[in-house]
Amino acid sequence: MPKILGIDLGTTNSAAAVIEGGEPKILENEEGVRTTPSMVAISKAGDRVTGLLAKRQAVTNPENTIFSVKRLIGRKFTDPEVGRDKKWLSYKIQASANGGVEIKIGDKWLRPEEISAMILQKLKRDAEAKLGGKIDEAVITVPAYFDDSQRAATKAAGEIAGFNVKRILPEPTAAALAYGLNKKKDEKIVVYDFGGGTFDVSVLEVSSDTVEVRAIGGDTHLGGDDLDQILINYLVGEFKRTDGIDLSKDALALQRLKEATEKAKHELSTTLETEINIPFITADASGPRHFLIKLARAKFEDLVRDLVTKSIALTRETVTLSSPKGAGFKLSEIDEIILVGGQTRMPMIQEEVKKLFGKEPNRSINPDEVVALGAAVQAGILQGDVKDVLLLDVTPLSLGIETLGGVFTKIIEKNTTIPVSKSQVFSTAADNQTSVEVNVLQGEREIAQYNKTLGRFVLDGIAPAPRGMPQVEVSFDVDANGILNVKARDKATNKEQSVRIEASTGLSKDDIEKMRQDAEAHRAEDHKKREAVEIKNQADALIYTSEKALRDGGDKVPADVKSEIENKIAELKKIKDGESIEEIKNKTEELSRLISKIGEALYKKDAGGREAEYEDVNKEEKKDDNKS
Amino acid sequence: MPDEEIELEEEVIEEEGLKDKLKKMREDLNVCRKEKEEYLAGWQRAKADFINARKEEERNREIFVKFAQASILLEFLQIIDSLEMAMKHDDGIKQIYLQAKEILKQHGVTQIESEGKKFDPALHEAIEKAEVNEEEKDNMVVEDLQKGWLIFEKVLRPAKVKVGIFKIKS
Repeated sequence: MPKILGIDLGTTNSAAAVIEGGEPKILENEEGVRTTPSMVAISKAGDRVTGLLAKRQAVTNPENTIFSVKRLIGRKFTDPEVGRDKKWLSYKIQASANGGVEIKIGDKWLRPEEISAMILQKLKRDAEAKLGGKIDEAVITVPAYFDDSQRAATKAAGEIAGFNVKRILPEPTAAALAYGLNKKKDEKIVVYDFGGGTFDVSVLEVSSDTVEVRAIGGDTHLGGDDLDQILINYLVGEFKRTDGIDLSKDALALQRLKEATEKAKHELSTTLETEINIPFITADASGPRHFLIKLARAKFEDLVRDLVTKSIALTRETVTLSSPKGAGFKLSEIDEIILVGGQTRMPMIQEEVKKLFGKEPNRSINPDEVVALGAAVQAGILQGDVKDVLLLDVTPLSLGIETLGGVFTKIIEKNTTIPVSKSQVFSTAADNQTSVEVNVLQGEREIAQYNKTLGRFVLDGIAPAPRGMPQVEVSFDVDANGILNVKARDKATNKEQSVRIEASTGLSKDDIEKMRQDAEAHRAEDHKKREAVEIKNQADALIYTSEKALRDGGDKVPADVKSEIENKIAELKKIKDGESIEEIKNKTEELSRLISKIGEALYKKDAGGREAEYEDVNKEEKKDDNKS
Repeated sequence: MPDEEIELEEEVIEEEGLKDKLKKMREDLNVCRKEKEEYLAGWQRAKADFINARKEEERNREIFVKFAQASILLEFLQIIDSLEMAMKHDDGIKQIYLQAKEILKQHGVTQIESEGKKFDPALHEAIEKAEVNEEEKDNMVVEDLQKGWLIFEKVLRPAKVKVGIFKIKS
């Protein structure tokens, strides 16, 4: 079945996605990149170039390189927005016969929709190459503030590109679809979209499967690029102050600084400080100069605070002011907040949004891709791919059981799509242990007691055997409704016991978030504890095998070796329940080295007459190795 | 079968017969319902399996990519070694450069020759333009500001170049 392409036709960048196996997926373009610059150019030779290649040649050909055409599409030439943009655009525009805008490219005057069509054509071509088939239908997103004329022009662009445009979808609605929020009942959603060149905020209301845009706001000239520019200006200023050279006059230096700044900005989303290091950035009479500045996140935040504050104020207005300026809602009435646009990776923005609404915003989907993914979801609904019964849930937290030493062993990892079945084989911790207790847990902490117990049961009737011998298979099954069935079965006797847990997914979003954050906060300490338990378990197991080896083959082991091993076992036993993990680890290693002497002694005793037999045994073992 | 039903209706059917028929239909319906449940569950599981397999695949690929780089980075440590030596002796930069280029070459990474070639946005990124007096230098790379690199036949990084613009004297 031919796919419908979901397209985010952006001001600076565009992206395309399709539904594959019921899930939306971004398609990489010909250059192997997930987003395509929304740029078109006619080269001097008269060739048309689009996307990344158009961007690369922009400097040599500014008057024939068209960008930001989305700012012009469907507008009248007399529109004040057009008047404002006309001043800074590097290409020529004029009024068309019917009062619209015309753009000069090469020796022709084209309408904005014809330019947009060229971008859409590239997306179409690349998607077809990627999927290996023709694509004739598309869902294209537009800003929520686009009026009928702008929507019609975007649709026309799609048609010129050869698409049958199935739907023109508002961007915030697409974002809500990507998060599956259209399935919620009577929710109020705010979409905070800080893009490269524009800032949009939208208030949506979902009721009985329809998503309605209740209010829109924003600033068409506020975006991530502005933040970059502020940072670049600051860095240029710093270099001028320290080295007395103005980098803004040097195109290559500025370009290198731009790239380094972008990288630094990304790094500051995860680290508190970064270093911008550009060797040989420029030279003067005294020789080469290097650029080396440490940049703290706090400094960057200070520099751009005004812009972020502005976006927050606009968001507040759009939500709270009464119609038509805003949605007339209380901030506390908002159920969900979605972050869109690469700039929302900035921790400060996430914090400020959270502070405004007193809630954690949704940001699990890549903010550069969420709109295109949502367009693909809409495409999927239209082509009938996404049936309600096949909208599958995921496990919000990991599920597993408690194992030796109070460790949480995960059986089903968080974010696994359900229905799912997984099993793992466990054994006993003591000799002749005839029952095991299965403590079913949910959570992310590595230590069992800090997670939530969903249920517990005992499997008894296990045949007496040395520790580690019995095989108890524990299987977890979560069905499509989130009902968890846990079953433990002794493989020898086939005896089994199970528990059914209804509410394995019935946690509120806040609970889940709290549990996740809790796990994150305690990660290092939990990990240490778990390691300690594992070391203790290892010590325990080694003592057991050593004692067994001495019992079984002790008479063949020289007395001195035997007593040495016995001493080591005693030493390890003394400390193994204590807290000095390093010591337990060392002693375990010592004992482990020592007990190999038992084997050595046994082999020495047997050596000679039975050598041939050993060889055979070894061969046999090798064969087994190959099999496994 | 509609025909059959019509016939049945026309006949005078005993109550017994109707009851049997109803019972049979109920049973059939139950079988159908059960089958429906089974197929739906099977379908959902197949789809969930697919999604989980894809997630697993993505995770594995991420890990693969992360550690696949390790072998190259390991070789690059030679460069760091050499640079540390060079810093001590203030010498040998050229040799380190050649050493680095050789490592790159072994991994299929080669330099793009740009200067004097026709500007091609597939290989070059224009950073600056320079007015030229000769018409044949128009749209040619007049200076290679930062070298571009290919990985096998794909562009790893385009060259940053200065492009000649011929202005016709009026």
